[in-house]
Amino acid sequence: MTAVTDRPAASADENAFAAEIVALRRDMLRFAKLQLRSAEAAEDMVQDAIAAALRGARSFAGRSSLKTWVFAILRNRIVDHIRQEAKVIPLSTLEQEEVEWEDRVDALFDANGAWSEAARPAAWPRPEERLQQQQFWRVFEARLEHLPANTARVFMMREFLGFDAQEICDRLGITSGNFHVIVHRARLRLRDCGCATAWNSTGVVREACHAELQGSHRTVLAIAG
Amino acid sequence: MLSCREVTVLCSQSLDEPLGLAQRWRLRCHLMMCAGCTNFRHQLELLRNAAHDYAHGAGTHFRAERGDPGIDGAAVRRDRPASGMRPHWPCIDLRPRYKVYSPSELP
Repeated sequence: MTAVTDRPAASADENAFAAEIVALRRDMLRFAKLQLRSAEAAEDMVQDAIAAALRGARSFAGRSSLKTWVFAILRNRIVDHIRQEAKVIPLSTLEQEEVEWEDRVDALFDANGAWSEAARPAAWPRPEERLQQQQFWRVFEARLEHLPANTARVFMMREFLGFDAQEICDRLGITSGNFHVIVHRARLRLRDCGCATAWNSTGVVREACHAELQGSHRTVLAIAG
Repeated sequence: MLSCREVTVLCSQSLDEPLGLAQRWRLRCHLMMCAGCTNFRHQLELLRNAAHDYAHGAGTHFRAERGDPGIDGAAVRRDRPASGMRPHWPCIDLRPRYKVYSPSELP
């Protein structure tokens, strides 16, 4: 990137553009790290995406916000990386995550499969405002980070990168049954981020969020219903 | 009659592939009577929107508090789909809210 910013002929506009892109680095890095689970690989990928954005500045043309464009470049790189490197998930690790998870799901429902009193879902109050609050995104990120590795991988391939179910199954060597169970689990854990932030002022949920950050999901599942 | 537990599975599945007619029907019957599962379905819709936003750069540094209109105007209201869309299942509002770039357009 320095190659562009240091070029003597670079106009003030170009320099400002480069500075704006570089300012997005932290957000890009956070996004990449969640998916690659390796700080080093994420760092390389972000560096690469920024370099590509600076090289291809002319193709941006302002058809979206700069951030949308830069994130599209980054997602594209991550997709390529996954298509080249995705490894089959060993069945044993899937089973292990399954066992851990079953208890938690059992706690959500009673013996007849109806919602238990504490776990019954509540509506997100004012959902659109939620999505604009930093607190919401902190809870969202914290929960993503605490998903078991394979669960997170499948969820993010589906929801962030837009892979369809069939391709995910093919690349990771899982059955469509496995796939549905895995994304369902992830969604069960992430679904009430909006409720937690809404209640934040009560203190109860502040504690719950804190517990969440410590990796204890059970408390939150019990409180956030 | 489906249990709530089974309904959560189908709600999730419907985000990834179309459900059969019979399943859709049984789901609707359950949802008409169950506020918990209706909220759950709504939570899943919002989660999908949230993930979509996040992948387009929303997140911790989303600058809504400074009156920023949101990335590509994404902060416009889009919680529940219009009421006319409600009776259908699934009725998640998944219109793209950001400029979609094909890989060939990107450097």
